[in-house]
Amino acid sequence: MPRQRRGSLVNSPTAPNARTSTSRLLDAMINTDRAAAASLVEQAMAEGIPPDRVITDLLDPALTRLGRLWGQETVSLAQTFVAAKIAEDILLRCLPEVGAAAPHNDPVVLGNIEDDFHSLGRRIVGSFLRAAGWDVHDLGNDVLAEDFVNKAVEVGASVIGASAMMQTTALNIRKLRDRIDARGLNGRLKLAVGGAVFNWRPDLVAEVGGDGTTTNASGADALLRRLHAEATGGAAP
Amino acid sequence: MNAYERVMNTLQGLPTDRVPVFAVLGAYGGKLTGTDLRTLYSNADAWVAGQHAVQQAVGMDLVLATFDYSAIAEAFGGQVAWSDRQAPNVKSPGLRDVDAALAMPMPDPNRTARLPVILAATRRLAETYRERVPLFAAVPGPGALPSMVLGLEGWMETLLFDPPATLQMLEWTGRFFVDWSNALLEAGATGIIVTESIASAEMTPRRLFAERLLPHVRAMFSRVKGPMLFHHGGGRLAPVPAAALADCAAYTGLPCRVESVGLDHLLALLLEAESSATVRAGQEESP
Repeated sequence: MPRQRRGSLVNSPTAPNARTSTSRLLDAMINTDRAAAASLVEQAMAEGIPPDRVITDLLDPALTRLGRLWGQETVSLAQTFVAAKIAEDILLRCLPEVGAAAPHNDPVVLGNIEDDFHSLGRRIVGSFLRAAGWDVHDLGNDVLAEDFVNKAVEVGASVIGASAMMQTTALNIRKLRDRIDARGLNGRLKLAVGGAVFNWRPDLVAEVGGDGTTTNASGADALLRRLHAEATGGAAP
Repeated sequence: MNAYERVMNTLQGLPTDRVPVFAVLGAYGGKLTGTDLRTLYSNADAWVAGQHAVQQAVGMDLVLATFDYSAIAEAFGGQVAWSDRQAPNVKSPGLRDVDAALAMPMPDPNRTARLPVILAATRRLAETYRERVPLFAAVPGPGALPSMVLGLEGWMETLLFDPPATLQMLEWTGRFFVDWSNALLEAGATGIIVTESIASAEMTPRRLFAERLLPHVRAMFSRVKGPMLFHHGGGRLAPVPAAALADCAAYTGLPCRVESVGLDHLLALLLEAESSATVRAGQEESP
């Protein structure tokens, strides 16, 4: 019989097992019930589950399962929006108590590319990345290529995430690719791209010079980990 | 059979000579006439000339009133992002919360921002194409309209987490939906294309739409004095609110038919459906 970890959701004498808890948290996300999610977290912590375990054993698996559901086109933007809020709630509740065991905190720069003003997807991605431990620098809408690169250099980011909803604005990401290359940062500063148009036209990723994309917010962490590892030549955070 | 007869027969489930066809060609009119996009979307003459050019070049079964949702956001105090490559967009919403919305005067279709320009273009197009080519105007649906005022994130936040404020906001923006739709109809629009994207499965779960938005959509539809086409906004239409559409049908005497298709299905449907013609809308742009 495998050994169970101390203070985890798995071996808590009173808390439901991890799979059940994850399912309940996922249910709260799907039912857009932020209060139920908060209650679940409070219950887990009251029963002695360490905050870092709440994140790794409860939140992470729920977000992963939500991502699968998104891939199956069975959850909506509203449900993803609530999931992002729940993730932020849990982080705000748990991170101050995690202390030295805090997530990796590597910087990433996000923004909607020049002329693009569809911010909601980017905001949700930012929430998911913060939940996964990234130090998110969100530059907002209508961000020029030069400003993306300057911020990435300033904060030491290895990845820029550029968002665009429509093809007309997505093509502006090409300017960002050119700016990264012109500054000699190719390979050391990776370019992740995302937004509705890339889901409809995956070939657009290569056309604008992107190094990778993800079809949903919950896949952003895995993408950025891969790109970070490629950029730094090391292990993913 | 001209385009007007073809589309109206389609809406009433009557035979047609062929499937009505149209695409959303608004900005393309500017390209045909050599007009910059800011002028096209700010000047009634420019829009009318653009639609004339589209009709001459393509000859579709529909003429569009100015399709520019940023004008609505602007009327509520929002900022517009102008571009030389795409239709104007909402740069930032005018209001941050429901309290601020309730405190501002309701935009007047005949006076506020660019709304009168859109009405003027609608009148002129109606005079030209009356009973030859149907003239439709696109209006954001009652469930989506608050996002033009608060931004999509602000509206989602309200809709999901503040039911009392949601009701207040819907009631307030609902008045504009009715006023604006009726103003377009009075200006000569044949009907209103209601793009209720928030009803799609990609945007909201079915239960949420049915419980929090559908009653409002029904109430607003019953106050619009003309035909309405319910458009999916690019997504899978969740519970096509048949009950709400029935209200519309009862008012206009037209049996409303609704289908939701993606562009990838359009060609196949055009080929298959000669005897059951249905109006379908594609998307050139998403103001």
